[in-house]
Amino acid sequence: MSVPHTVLGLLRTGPRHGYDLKKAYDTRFAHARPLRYGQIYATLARLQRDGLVILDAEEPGQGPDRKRYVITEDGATELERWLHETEEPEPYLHSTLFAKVVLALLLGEDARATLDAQRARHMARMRELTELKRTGDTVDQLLSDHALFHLEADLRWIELTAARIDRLRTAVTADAG
Amino acid sequence: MLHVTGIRKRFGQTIALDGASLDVSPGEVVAVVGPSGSGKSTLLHCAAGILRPDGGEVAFDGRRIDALGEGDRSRLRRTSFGFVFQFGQLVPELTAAENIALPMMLGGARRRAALAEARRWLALLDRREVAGKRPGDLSGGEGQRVAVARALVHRPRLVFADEPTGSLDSLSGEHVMDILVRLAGDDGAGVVIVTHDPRVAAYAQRDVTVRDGRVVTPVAA
Amino acid sequence: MIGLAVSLLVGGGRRAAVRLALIVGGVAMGIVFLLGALAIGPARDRADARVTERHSPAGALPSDSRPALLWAAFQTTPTSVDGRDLEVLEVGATGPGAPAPLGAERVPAPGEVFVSPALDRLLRSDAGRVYRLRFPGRVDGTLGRAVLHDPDELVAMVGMPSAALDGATRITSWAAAGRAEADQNGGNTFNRRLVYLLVAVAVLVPIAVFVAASTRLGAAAREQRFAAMRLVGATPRQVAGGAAAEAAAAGLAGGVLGLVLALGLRTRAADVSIAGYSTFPADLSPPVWQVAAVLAATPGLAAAAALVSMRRIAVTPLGVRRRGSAGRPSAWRLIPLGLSWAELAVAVQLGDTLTEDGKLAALGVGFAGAILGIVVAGPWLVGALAGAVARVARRPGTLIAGRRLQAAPTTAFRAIGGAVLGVFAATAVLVYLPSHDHWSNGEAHVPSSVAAPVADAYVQVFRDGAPYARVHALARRLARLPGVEDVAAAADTRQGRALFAGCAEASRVLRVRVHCPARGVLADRSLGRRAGEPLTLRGARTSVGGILPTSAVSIVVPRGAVPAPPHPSVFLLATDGSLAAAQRVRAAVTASGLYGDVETAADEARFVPAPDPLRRQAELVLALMLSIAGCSLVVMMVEGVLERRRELAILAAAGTRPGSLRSAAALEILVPLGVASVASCVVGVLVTATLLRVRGIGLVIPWQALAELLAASALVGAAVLAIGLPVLGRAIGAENLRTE
Ligand SMILES: Nc1ncnc2c1ncn2[C@@H]1O[C@H](COP(=O)(O)OP(=O)(O)OP(=O)(O)O)[C@@H](O)[C@H]1O
Ligand SMILES: [Mg+2]
Repeated sequence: MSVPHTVLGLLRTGPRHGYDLKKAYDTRFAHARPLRYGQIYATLARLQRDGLVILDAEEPGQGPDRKRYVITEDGATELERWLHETEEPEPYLHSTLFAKVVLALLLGEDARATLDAQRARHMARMRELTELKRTGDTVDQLLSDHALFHLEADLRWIELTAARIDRLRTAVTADAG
Repeated sequence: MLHVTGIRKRFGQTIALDGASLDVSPGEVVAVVGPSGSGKSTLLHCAAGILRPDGGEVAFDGRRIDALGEGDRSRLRRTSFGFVFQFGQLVPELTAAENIALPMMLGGARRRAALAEARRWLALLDRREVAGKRPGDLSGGEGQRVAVARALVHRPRLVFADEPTGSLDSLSGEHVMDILVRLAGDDGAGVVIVTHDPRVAAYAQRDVTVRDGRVVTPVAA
Repeated sequence: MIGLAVSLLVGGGRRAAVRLALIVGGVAMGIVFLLGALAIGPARDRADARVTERHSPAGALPSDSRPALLWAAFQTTPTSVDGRDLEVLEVGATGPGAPAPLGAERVPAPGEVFVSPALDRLLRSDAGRVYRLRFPGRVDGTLGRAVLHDPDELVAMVGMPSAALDGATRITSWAAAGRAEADQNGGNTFNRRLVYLLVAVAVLVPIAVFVAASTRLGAAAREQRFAAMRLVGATPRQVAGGAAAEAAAAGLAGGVLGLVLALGLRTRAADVSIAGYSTFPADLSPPVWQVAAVLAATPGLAAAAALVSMRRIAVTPLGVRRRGSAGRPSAWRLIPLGLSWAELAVAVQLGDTLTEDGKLAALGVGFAGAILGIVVAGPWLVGALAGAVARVARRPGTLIAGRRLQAAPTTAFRAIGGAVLGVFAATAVLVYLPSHDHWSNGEAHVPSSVAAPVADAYVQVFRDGAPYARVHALARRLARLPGVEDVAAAADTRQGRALFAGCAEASRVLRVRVHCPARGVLADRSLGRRAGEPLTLRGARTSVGGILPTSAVSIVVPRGAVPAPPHPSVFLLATDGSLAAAQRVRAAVTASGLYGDVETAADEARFVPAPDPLRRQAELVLALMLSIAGCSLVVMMVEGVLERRRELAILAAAGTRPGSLRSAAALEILVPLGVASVASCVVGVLVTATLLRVRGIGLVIPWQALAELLAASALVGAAVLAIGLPVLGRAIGAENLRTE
């Protein structure tokens, strides 16, 4: 899960204070593991260094808590790239994928396309593994199977999420309001 | 080889297909996936000429099969297509070998030749010993393997499978898929598999998703 | 809980409802038939007793001087009206206070005529108007059941002055009426009892088969419900008890429905003719205890049958398993059939050492044994046949049919069992009756249709001591009747064949050109003379030329050889051919006071030979049996198709020609039906041949009737297919591919 991209995504909905960002992040994405303050400011500093965010000009700083951050043109482009890039199919990716879906919904983007694309990528990987399994030796088969079962679980989650996308949208946008 | 373009089908109030399209080339294995009730089976039935779509085109080798009469479609299915269903396709009173021989006999083959060919297929499946058994005495996996042999024995150009592993455990399911894809591949037949199971879909070279009676355009991965 | 149990037991669904309806209907049909069979015997006995009483009532003792009813049956021409027999009773009273005749409220006054309702209707109809000529008196009353055999009988009771009735029976009281017992000769009773025996077995078996077939409807769903009951905690005993209770309820409902139907049908008995007669509803009343016993036994039998069929399956909470999956029926199943045949053979050996009752018992046991034997051996035959078919099958439809039959020969035979038993019983009757007729008619049996009248009317009078003047007066009268164109007088020789004088006379009356030699007369070819041969008959005093169909008029006898008869007893008439002329001739003969017999071509043409009642009965029963068997077949076929509609739909989806599926379904019915029918026909002939040997009667095989029988059986098969195949057509629709 990429915290910087998530933060970028949250800023895409409008300029925010660091404190706001943490709160928004915690309610939507963190659940059991809230971000530490240090982590959010470190992330913001890195983003600022890379020119992806800047400080809001209109509200000159009065201490770290009073700084408002705005996403730059570059930041928006990077966010876009990230959102539409599929994840390397590997176990335990769901939190990243989940973040992408929620952000896509927040931004009014086509979250389903995200899911479909991810699904296609997963399927492609599963096909490779299946092919390996069919042609390889027993060890290959067992290893492929292990990976296949995990990918299958992801895939099922993707399909389920796709099926429930409307409910998720309602939930997410209600939070935002 | 098979071009399904924008077909529509409704059952009373239910719109089962609403402009679905599907292409299958020779030797290609295509998986059709999608949520329950989305119209996968209906798409398969229309593509195979079992059902006649209300609109759209189904062309096989450049010939419109949706326009053919019942008898011609029946002959096409008998000679050019093979079918595997989830269960219940074997005639319970015939032996496994006779079940496999059935499509050839329907095609006019001599009984003796057909049975010999059926036994050859059972040998190919490594299941020579089930030749004289009746479906009721076969395990689910054996039954499906016999069904695959029956679908392929008359060397069809296209094989349609609707949830072929639906009632099997994963290992048996894999065996069935393996022989289906392998043997169809040997013959250069196209295969269309409807399935819920991503692991089954992974046997295909590509998959298409049906949602609300439409084939969702796959995003290039 | 109880509600759940009941709903699980009986279950919803259209098929369950159809099934219950068929069972109730089948039971009701069986009850109707059984009650009918119980009633028809006593009814016929009562009707026969009335006829006996009518023909020979008990006369009063000569010492009895009370006013008497004079009763003369057969005193006038018993002859045909509208092609049917008319019987005229002449009655009169010796004085006031004489008892009223049977079936009437009072003695008809001289000149008054009472008629049976059927005759009344006939006389009133336009077509029947000509027959009124026969009854110059007033038709003034209707005869009741007490004097009639059946509602369709044509009987007239003519009032006569007592003086004209000398020689009639004097009756002072009908009290002795009960004395008359049906005049049954032993052979006839034996026939009747045997036929009733066959009929009872022959009809109830297919009905039982039909009920059993109906219970198979929706059986799979029903057994699943039983399993569901076990799953919610019912014991096997409770499930069986429930099934038995359900069957008993259906049996009771069927019994009550049957009784109601039987009572309803009884009121229509007069309109329906069974075996050539209709019946007075009042005659149809089997003993009450028999009715009660039948109604009481039905639910019990139904419950018992349900329990037996439940024993064949094991209902577990997880589903239903068939016990001891029926192995191939083995050839041992032929044994009971062999035994029953052996039993009959022993009866043949014992022959006349047996009493009539002993013979009847031996034959009954042999027959029941043969039926049982067919039921037991049938599945073996079907199985063996199916194996052979499957082995040689080249076409997929044949292969599937053969294998399916082979997998369940017992079920398959159950479907056709009714028809097969029907064929067996019918064969027995069809072989028995002509053999029996042939035997009782003697070797020189002559078909009854030979003696077609050659003239338009043929009158034979029996002078019976009356003066010759009356005969001559009649002759003159006949010649003057309107519609009568010519009369030729002749004398009677033997066997009712007429010989008469005059070649020219003959050609006039017969309206054929007869070659008339100068000095010749015609002779009946049956006399066996050649042309020109002198003819000497009974002292050469009586006989002259003879008449038979014109083709037979070929013998010329020198005139001098046989002088004309002095007193004719036979008149041949040329008429205008009308019915009215015929009736005038009859009326004239009746009026002459001579006992005479009149045959007219007009009547002859209308005459419908009365069918042999037993034969008719057997045909009726056969038709009934075959239709019931057809119903069973339809039920089994439809159920068989519905049960495996997914399998069939998949075969059709895979491109199997609907024709192949149809031919499989058709062969599945036709092959066993055809072969088993032929087999049971052969067994029927064999058993009946033995039976005839027991009675010492030679075997006559009615090939044509047997062929018709087998054709009827094939027809039933075809009808079943006509109903069942459309169901198949719907069962292979793509919607059946969907999993349920
Ligand atoms: N014969 C029919 N009569 C009525 N409705 C039908 C019929 N066949 C299909 N449908 C309807 O059409 C829709 C699509 O059905 P279809 O069987 O094609 O779905 P599916 O994708 O195969 O579902 P599943 O994955 O559950 O098999 C469903 O809503 C179904 O109820
Ligand atoms: Mg489906």
